[in-house]
Amino acid sequence: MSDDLRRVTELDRLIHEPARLLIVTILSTVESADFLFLQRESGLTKGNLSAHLSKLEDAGYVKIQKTFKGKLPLTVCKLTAAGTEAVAQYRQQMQSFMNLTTK
Amino acid sequence: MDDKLLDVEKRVKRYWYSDGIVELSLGGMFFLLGVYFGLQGYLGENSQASVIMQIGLFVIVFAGIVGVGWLVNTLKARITYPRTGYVEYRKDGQDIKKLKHIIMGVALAVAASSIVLFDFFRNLDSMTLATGVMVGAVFIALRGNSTGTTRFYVVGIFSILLGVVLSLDKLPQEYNLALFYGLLGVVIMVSGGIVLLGYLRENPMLAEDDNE
Repeated sequence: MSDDLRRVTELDRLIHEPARLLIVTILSTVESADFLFLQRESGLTKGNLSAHLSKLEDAGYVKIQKTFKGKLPLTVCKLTAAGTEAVAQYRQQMQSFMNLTTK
Repeated sequence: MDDKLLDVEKRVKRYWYSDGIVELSLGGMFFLLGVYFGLQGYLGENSQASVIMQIGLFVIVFAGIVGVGWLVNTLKARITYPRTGYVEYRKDGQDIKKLKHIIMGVALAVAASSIVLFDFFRNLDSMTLATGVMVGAVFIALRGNSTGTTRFYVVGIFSILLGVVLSLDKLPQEYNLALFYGLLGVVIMVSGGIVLLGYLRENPMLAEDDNE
């Protein structure tokens, strides 16, 4: 197996999962987003989204904060520095893998 | 796969404009600018009120920008966030940098073409033409391109055409600018209003515990 191909096995599996990849992609585009927005954009159910967010929070990739915007209660999610770095690294790895396969 | 992720990123950026509130507020500000230039033209260059108004232009524009920001945030907190969720966008200056490049590029292009086509430009209201091209370029290159929102291309093209048409007439510059900002403001507000109506129809208010 070539080094390039071996790198595919080193992909961050936490992010590689499609639903979580979608969540971190959304969060990497913004400063922060609330639960409702993530739910609508990802199309996940409340329970599913909660479970994925908990996994990302446990890994230190996402910070979840209960707050208020005016009188509106919000569950705001934000990508941490570690999460941002993990997403960037994942995309770089995937890009180099894609380049390799399309050669 | 990366294309799909790029689509997601564009969709998230587009969300800021999905309710038409930004356009309604921005269109309102443009319309007020049109009223301002119209009044200036009506009062005449040498009247005391016109001189005071000229000094006040900076204050009006600054207050307008702050006012639009406040209005957009207030309306979004009441209309958008309870319906489709809250998003805070990054203030990384990327858009401002892009905006500066676009304005500089268009200004240079207008200046260069006015030198090359001096005879042609002599008969035009170059201020209205430059305003139309610049505002149009900002709509097309900055908002349309980064979000993939078709209506921004339409507004951008309308702005350029309006600038060109008004620059050819023989009205005083103040009236041309008044017509430009007034008409563009109305078009942007109508576009925002239609988008807002569609948004409200598609997204009824959720029960309170839906955002937990």
